[in-house]
Amino acid sequence: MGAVEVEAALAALDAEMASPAPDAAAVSAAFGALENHRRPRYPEVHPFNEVMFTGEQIRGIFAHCYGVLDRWPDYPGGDENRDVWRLRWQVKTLIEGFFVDPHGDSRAFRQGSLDHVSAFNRPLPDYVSDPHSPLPHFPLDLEEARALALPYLQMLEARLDDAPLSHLPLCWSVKEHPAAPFDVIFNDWIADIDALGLGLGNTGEALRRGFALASLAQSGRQKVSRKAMDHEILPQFDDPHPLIAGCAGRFVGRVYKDTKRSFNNGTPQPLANILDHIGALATNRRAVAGGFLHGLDDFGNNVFVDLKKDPRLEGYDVDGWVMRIFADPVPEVHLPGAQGFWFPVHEHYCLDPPFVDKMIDAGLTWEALLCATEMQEPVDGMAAVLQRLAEVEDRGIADPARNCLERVYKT
Amino acid sequence: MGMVEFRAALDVLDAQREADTPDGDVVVEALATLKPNRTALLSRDDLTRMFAACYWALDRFAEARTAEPQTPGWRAHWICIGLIEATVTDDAAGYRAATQSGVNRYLALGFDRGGKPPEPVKPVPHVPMDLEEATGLVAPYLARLEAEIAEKPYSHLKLAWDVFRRPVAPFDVVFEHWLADLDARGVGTGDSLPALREAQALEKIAQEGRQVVGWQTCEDVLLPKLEHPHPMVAGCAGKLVGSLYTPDMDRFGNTTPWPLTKMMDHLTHVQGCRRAVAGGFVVAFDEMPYLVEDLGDAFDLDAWVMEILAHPLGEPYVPGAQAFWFHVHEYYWRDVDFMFGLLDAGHDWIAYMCATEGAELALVRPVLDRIVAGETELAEAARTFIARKEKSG
Repeated sequence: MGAVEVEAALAALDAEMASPAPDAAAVSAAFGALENHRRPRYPEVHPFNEVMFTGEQIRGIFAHCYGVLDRWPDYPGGDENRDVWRLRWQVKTLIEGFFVDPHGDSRAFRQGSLDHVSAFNRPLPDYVSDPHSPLPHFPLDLEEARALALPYLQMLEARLDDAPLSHLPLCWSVKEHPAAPFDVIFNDWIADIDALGLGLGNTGEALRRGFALASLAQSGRQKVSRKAMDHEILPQFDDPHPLIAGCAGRFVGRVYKDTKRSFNNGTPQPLANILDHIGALATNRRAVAGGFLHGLDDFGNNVFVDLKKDPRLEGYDVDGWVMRIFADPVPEVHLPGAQGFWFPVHEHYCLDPPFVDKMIDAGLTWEALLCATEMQEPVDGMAAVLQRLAEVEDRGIADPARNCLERVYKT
Repeated sequence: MGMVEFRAALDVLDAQREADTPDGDVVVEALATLKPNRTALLSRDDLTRMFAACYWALDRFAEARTAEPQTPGWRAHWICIGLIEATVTDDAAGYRAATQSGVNRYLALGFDRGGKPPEPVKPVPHVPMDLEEATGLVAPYLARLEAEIAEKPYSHLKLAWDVFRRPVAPFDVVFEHWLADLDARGVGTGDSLPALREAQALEKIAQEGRQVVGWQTCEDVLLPKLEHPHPMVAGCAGKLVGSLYTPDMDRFGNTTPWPLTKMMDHLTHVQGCRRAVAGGFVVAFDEMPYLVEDLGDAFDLDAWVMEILAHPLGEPYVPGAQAFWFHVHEYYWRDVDFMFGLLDAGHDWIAYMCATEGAELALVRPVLDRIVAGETELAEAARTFIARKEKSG
């Protein structure tokens, strides 16, 4: 897609949005053309990143995005509103795509593939579908960029009363894969909302510290002493902000993945003690436990299989530990930087109907539902569990359980 | 320090541009003020004014480039070059990750380095211009670089290397277009863009030092690249091959490479850019003494160096791999006999570089005296060097 097609898509948007009753499907199609423009281009078609949005085009895109959000302010339910749902999603993706570097996580990998192609005269590996990853570029001044982002930031801000952590995933992405000048704009905005005490009131500090802990966990190279672990790191489990607590859990999990390599001074506490410590936390127990398991197993394997055969945990009741974590009444929130606790639980216990039964007994119906519906083929004994779930009052639990019974167990 | 000072300096420069007789000292002071106050988030107007001032100063002091160092014109010239080139690259990219790592440790682990918080991470540079505007902004500078290519066909590559290694959008694209255009018009060697891509790939893999390469691949793919006609590609191929021979890694996997001495011998038979290849090969070991350590006493390094230098093709400056002469002058700076050998073989300039590297004058005086007596172009430089050394005692 070239400059002409961008202009055509914008003209189509102009025409449709100017009508008294814009058609969501038509608007969505025009936005789809713009989305295609932002996708990486194939080298044989566009040898260079030739077509970038101009400042004028960006002004038009933002105006139409906000026009859509004004015209259709909510995600509607029902199949008949699928176009509106898709359109809102497209707009959100398009706007947020300007705030972050969309290739930030894969650029080095793609470039590495290109380097090997060039250095060793090799063909491009099949798994690299497109090696090109243009740098993000926003051709407008800081203040104009700030003004364009403002309505979106205000929308995020408005949600903080009901969902005080809802802005974290985007803020995290901006921090992890910055796209100038939005890194600066977000920093300023976060300072503003913290000054106003919005959300939990310390987003800036939580992001900085959470990001620091998660980065050290991801690198897997940071060594620690027993003293630092006891005095600097473990106390962060008790931080009231779940992002800090969860990311501290992840870092400690990474350290306990290989204590011989990770401790440079002092004898580490036994792994069982750490699990007990997490199981007794007064706050954010699930966030810390989720982060801890994430750190133990970065690659998303079945971490509970490893835990149950870990010689450091001989005789330890891992299933009991899971239930102790779930006993924390604070519900789980989605955190960037640290995996949710429910995730590894449902990956492992989806094959263990008696345990899922126990979860229902403990009132953990949502968690039990995730376990019971994970497998897309029948699991011996799970039909009865699903039947129990299908009979609960909450339709959000009962309906998916019934669907799963129909789909997987009645063939 | 900040935008107020930056814009005040731009005002001074605007006034100087309008003046009938600009004051060189005032211009230099204003340009020097721009440098530390230039932020990563300049507005379009700031960037446009800064480039306009730089182009004006480069024209105004065009004669000063080769003038006596530290004169106002000379300083103005080099400050302008620095400002322009720093703007088209992300000059903080090299240490941004390291700074972030320091911040991470400080925040997560309390490693407070004496109680002082670490230096904040510099923001990613932002160029608030369309591709077309950015192309127009740097066009006069690219035209200047292009004008130099006729005499120095590789002179544009250093900046282009930096632009691709530490890119700032959209200048990476601007430079890509420019190099492709040069190639299409046959300017310089006519293969600047593919040469840069290939050389950077080879150099990066060498620098990472992790890639295992079977001997067959080395022989079939990498050794032919040592004969690449572009010295930058050949030099970086030399660096990658050299990196495979560094001793603390088993980079050939379970295959058996040529012994190091045989590879060294192979380098003396390179027909293309032999010096560039050897320079790249040695830099993979960091510097000559580490290579010598691996070679053992039986290897005749002096003879090998002379065979590399025997190739008639000189050494143009290219980025990516260290020039061979550099290793030679670092290693032989106190070896007067070897310097005489260089003079005997007609390598006067390298002998001069060895002799002026840092040894006491008494030791290298005979070499310098012979250069002076030679009445070559270097004689005057050698004479000046001796006089300066004698004066400083």
